[in-house]
Amino acid sequence: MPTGYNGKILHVNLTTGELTVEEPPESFYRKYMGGSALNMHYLLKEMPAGADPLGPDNILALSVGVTTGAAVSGQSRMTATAKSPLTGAIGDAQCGGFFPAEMKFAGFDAFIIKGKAAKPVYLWVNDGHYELRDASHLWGKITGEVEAILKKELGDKDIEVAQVGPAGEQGVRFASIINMSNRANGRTGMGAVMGSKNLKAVVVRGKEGKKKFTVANKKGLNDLARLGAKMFPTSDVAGLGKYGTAETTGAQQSVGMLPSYNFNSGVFDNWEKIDGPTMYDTILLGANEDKQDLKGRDTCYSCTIRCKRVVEITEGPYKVDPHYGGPEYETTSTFGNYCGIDDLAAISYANQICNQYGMDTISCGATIAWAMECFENGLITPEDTGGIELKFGNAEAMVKMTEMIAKGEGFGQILGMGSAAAAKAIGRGTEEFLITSKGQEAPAHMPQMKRSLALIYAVNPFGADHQSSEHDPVYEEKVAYPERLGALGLTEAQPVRSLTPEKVRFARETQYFYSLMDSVNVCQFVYGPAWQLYGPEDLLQMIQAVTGWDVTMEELQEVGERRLNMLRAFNAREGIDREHDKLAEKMFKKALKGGPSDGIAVDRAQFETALDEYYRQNEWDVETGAPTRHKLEALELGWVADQLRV
Amino acid sequence: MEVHLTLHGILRDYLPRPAKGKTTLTLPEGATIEDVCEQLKIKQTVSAAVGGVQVENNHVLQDGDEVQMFRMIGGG
Repeated sequence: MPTGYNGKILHVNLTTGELTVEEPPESFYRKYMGGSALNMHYLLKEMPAGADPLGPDNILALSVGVTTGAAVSGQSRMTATAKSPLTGAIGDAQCGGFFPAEMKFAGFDAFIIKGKAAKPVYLWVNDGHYELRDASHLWGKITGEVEAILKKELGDKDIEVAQVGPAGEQGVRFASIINMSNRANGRTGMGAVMGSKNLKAVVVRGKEGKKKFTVANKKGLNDLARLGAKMFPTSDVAGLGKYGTAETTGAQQSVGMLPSYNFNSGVFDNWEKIDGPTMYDTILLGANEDKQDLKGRDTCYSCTIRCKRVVEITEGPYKVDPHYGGPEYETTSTFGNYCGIDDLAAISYANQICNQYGMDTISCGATIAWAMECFENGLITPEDTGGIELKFGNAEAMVKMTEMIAKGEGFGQILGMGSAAAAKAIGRGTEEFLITSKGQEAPAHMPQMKRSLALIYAVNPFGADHQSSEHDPVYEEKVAYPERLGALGLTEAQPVRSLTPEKVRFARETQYFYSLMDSVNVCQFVYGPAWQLYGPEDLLQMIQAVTGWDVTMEELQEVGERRLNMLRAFNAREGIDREHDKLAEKMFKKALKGGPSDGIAVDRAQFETALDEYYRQNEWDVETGAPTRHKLEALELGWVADQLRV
Repeated sequence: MEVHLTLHGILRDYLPRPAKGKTTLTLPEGATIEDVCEQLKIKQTVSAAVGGVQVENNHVLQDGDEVQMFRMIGGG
């Protein structure tokens, strides 16, 4: 009898309506752990190469991990994986909330979804029972409305709903999957894939399953949970809890790392108007009675940190309903400093639109920022925008454009393709201002200032991503967290803005660890190799306590490496190779303006040399960037090598 | 000597709330970032910048320095 996981995977064929249950052996779970690695097993085995991302051949895999649902912080995560309509490469995105734990309690570790339903449906999974139900009455409705209807329809207020909003239904290329109306599998357009399948929602409930959930070593897990709760108030994530992820805005500004005006600058004059502490003081629910710690902070299942924002705005043009949460640092950045906007209410309102209609706030805000720079340079005109003055600093225009993208109106239809595809459609030299890698917009961390991140933005299989490796500052001048990074064999700090072979090793080893975390499915604020609440050894203990497996750190790192190789192999099948491992040209050509990062751009020679080194260290083909048979076989992925014919 | 200090994020909680993370500290000559942490009883891992340039925590401060202190920058 497995502990921690169910040993059951539900296969859903939406074309035929057939639902079947697979019960893989324990060795399967130990090899993949869940999440992204488990999803990739099915995508590589069962999806034909060259599938249309928005066609029935695409497979949408939703998985939790072997520890999801355990009574400890940071375990309630679910990964969505499919071919991305935004990039044409592999797509992959994680969410938190209560949905992942409830999915585990409902009796399954993964849903593997194929085909396309003839009409809108939703998947209802209740304590091991499953069925597809008509969702015609839900189609076109925003997330909060759908949640309310389903709770009434199913007679249970404790169901959890992961759904697509109208943006996903219409095929906005960066549509997300939303749960709780405020948590997202945000990036790479997984909501567009789900919408293309006429699958409106996945609804889970595990009332009995929760009672039956067991772990191998309850005392060991309790000890770890108690340790986390004790450490938290003085930990380096205490600020994330109190002030949210936008706690970091002031730090980024201090050192010229706050991407502003579509990455033209690393500083934003009015940053204090949109940072986490200001949000806490002004618009967090309960701020007017100084009870925001009680009312304005939300959590994921069994987590001590409570970093999620709950915003309420009742006056003015931008009213925000607390049901739709509040903006993260990424969101205050993309709708804020990226666009030169210092109006926290407008940013929160744009965030609300994204959560109602189901869109990634990073790609949405960054696409608007790109369009603003094009507009400022006369490459996009009022004729294109329907008369909207899409200039930096124009909050009203930013909000209007967010609405138009969400509803597929006018110029919003073009921007809903994402900035890279929109640049191709518009032409006129608009690609000069792109900040994309593999067609995905860069998140709010700056490759100009973090050179290993520049490398990771370029080589990451699903495009520019900030949660795929540890960032440079912990490994520059001195090793900031020697015990934790030492557990991964990282002991030699490197100079600032260097990209030496050792820095590449830092990027690669921490990329494996983050890749592991997206497979076990744990939160990267709670677990990690540096500033997070728990370190690598704690994660090892947690997995051991939940599963009873005698896993080692080496074995865990191999799970992460295996997942990364599977993602790269998927891309290789699609003809996506080293030529696609690029950083936006703008990052090389245009030096930053103002503040501590004035005059700094990414060094092309340094970057290209590091690319070679990265492939070599991964034991991949340096010419193509594809995994080699030798490496794949070492990772027990010989069948993938057969697919690649290497 | 006096240094002008801005404490970002959670570090602002080490000052009285109305200060919103900003204060001027009187320190002995030769004081470092580590001394500031000790004086304010800061428990988190701290990074610092002086005049916009990131410095080590054993950096010796000068009279009139504009010092920014924040927790280590990672993802998020």
